[in-house]
Amino acid sequence: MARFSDAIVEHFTHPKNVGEVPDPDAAAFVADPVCGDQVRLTARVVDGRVGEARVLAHGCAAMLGTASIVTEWIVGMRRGDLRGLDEAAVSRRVGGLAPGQSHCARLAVDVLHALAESWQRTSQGNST
Amino acid sequence: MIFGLERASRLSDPERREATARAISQMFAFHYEHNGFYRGLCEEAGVDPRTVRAGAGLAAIPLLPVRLFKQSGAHLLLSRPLGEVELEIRSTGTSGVPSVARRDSQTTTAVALALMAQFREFFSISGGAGLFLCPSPAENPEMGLAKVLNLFCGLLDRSHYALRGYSFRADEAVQFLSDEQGSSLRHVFGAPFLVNRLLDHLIESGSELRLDQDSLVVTLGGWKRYAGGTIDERRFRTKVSRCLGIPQANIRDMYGLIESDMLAIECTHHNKHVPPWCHLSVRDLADPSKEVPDEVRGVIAVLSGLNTSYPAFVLTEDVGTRREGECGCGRRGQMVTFSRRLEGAEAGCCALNVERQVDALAARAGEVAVEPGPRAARAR
Repeated sequence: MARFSDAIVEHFTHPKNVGEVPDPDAAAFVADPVCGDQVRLTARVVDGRVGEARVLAHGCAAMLGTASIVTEWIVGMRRGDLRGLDEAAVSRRVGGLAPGQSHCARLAVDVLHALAESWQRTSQGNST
Repeated sequence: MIFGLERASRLSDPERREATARAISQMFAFHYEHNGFYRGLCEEAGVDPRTVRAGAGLAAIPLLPVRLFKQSGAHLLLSRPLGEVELEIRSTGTSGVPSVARRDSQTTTAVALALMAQFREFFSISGGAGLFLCPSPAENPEMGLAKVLNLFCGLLDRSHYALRGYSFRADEAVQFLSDEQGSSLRHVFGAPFLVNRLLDHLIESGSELRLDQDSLVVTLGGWKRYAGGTIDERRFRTKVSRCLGIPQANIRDMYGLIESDMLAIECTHHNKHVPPWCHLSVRDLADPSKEVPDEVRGVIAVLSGLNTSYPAFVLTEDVGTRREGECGCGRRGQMVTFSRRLEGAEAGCCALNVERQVDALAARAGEVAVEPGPRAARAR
C-alpha cells in the first residue's frame, strides 16, 4: 500500500474548507498529546443537518488530508450520524491509512463526536 | 562531501566555499523550477538561478521563515508530490502546534547518510553501550530529537532508554551504566535537562558512578528550560565531568533544527561545526534580508544542499553568531554559536516539550524522585 491514499494526497495538496465558520453552531478541538496533531472543527447547522464545516488542522500530512475530507463528508449529516462514526468508517472514507497513521482516524472520530456534543449543547441553549 | 567528510572539513576556505555554493545553487535551481510557491517568492525578490550563479551569491537566495512549517498551508512548501514523501519529522514547542518537515526518499537517504558520516567523523563510535535520556522513536516515531539520537543505536552494541512514557527512570539509568562497567565503553546520549537530572539524582542519592576515560556524553535539544531559565553549558560540562569522571572534551553538544538538514556538532574544543553541505548565514536582527559579518550576533539562517523535498533555505528564530576559519581540532569551515531565541518567538524545541511532559506526568503521579534537592542545588 502506498504511504498516502489518493484521497489524502488530493486533499493535502488541495485542502478544502480551511478556516473557521463564523459564529458556528458547533465547535470542537482535539489534540494528540504524543504526536502533537491538532484539529479544530466548526460547523453551521441548517434544518437539523450540517450545512457547512470548516477546519484548522496542524500535524502530519495524513491528518491534514483526513481533516479536509471530513469537512466535505459530514455536510448533510445529522447529529446522530456524527455520533455513529467510528475509526473504521473514517479509515474507509479516506481511502485507507498506513501503519502509523491510525491516530488520524482516532482524532477525526474524537473531533466529530466532540462536535456532536457541542451541537447538542447549542441546541439545548436555544431551546431554553 | 558526505563520504569524504573528514577531507571536506579540511579543505581550504575558498575550496570549501566553492563546493558548498555549487551544491546549494544547484538545489536552489531545482526548487525554483519545481516549486511554484517558492518561485513566486523568488520573483518577488527578483532572484533566479542565473542571478545567484552570476554573483549575487547564496546571500540572495530567498529564505523560508521557519514558522511556515507550522502553518496549515504546508503543502505549498513541497517541491515534490506528497506521494514521494517518505518521512515526516516534527518538533513541538510550548504552543503545542507542531512544526513538520517532510522529506522524500532522496532527501531521507542523504540526511541519514550525512548524520551517520558526522557521527563517525566526530565521535568514531563503532560499539559500546549507550544510555539514552530522551524519548525512544518507538514512542515518538516522528520526533526529531528521538529520531536523530536513535541513529547512534546502529553504531552501538547495546542501548537502553531510561525515559519511557515520559517517566524518567533515574535508578534504571544508573543501573544500566553500572551493569555495563568493565564490559563496554559506556556513553550517554540525551537532552541536556535529562542528563542534568541524572547528575542531580547521583548527587542526591550519593551514588558513585564513574564512566570510562573515552566515554562520551552527547547532548541535543537545547539548553532552555520550559519553566524559564537556561542550563549554563560551561557549568553543565564541569558538573558532568565531576560527577561522571570524564574529560570535558568528551562532553559534546549538537545544534540543529528539524526543518534544516544541518546538525552542527561540537568538537573537542567545543566549537559547533557546520557541515559542508550547509551554509550558515547570520542576518541582521532588524532586517533579515541583510547578512551581518562574522562574530556579529543576528538571526541564524541555514541553507541546505541536500534537500529535494522543499527549499531548505530556512530563516530560524534563533539568534547567534558565525565564524569561519580553522579550529584547534584541525577542521576548517563555518562554526556556529547559539545565543538565544528571537524575541517574541515561541520557546520551542523537542527537549522543552519533553521536559514539560515529564514534569506534568511526575506531578500527576505525585513523584518527587527526580526533583533536585538542596545538595544538588548547591552543586550547580
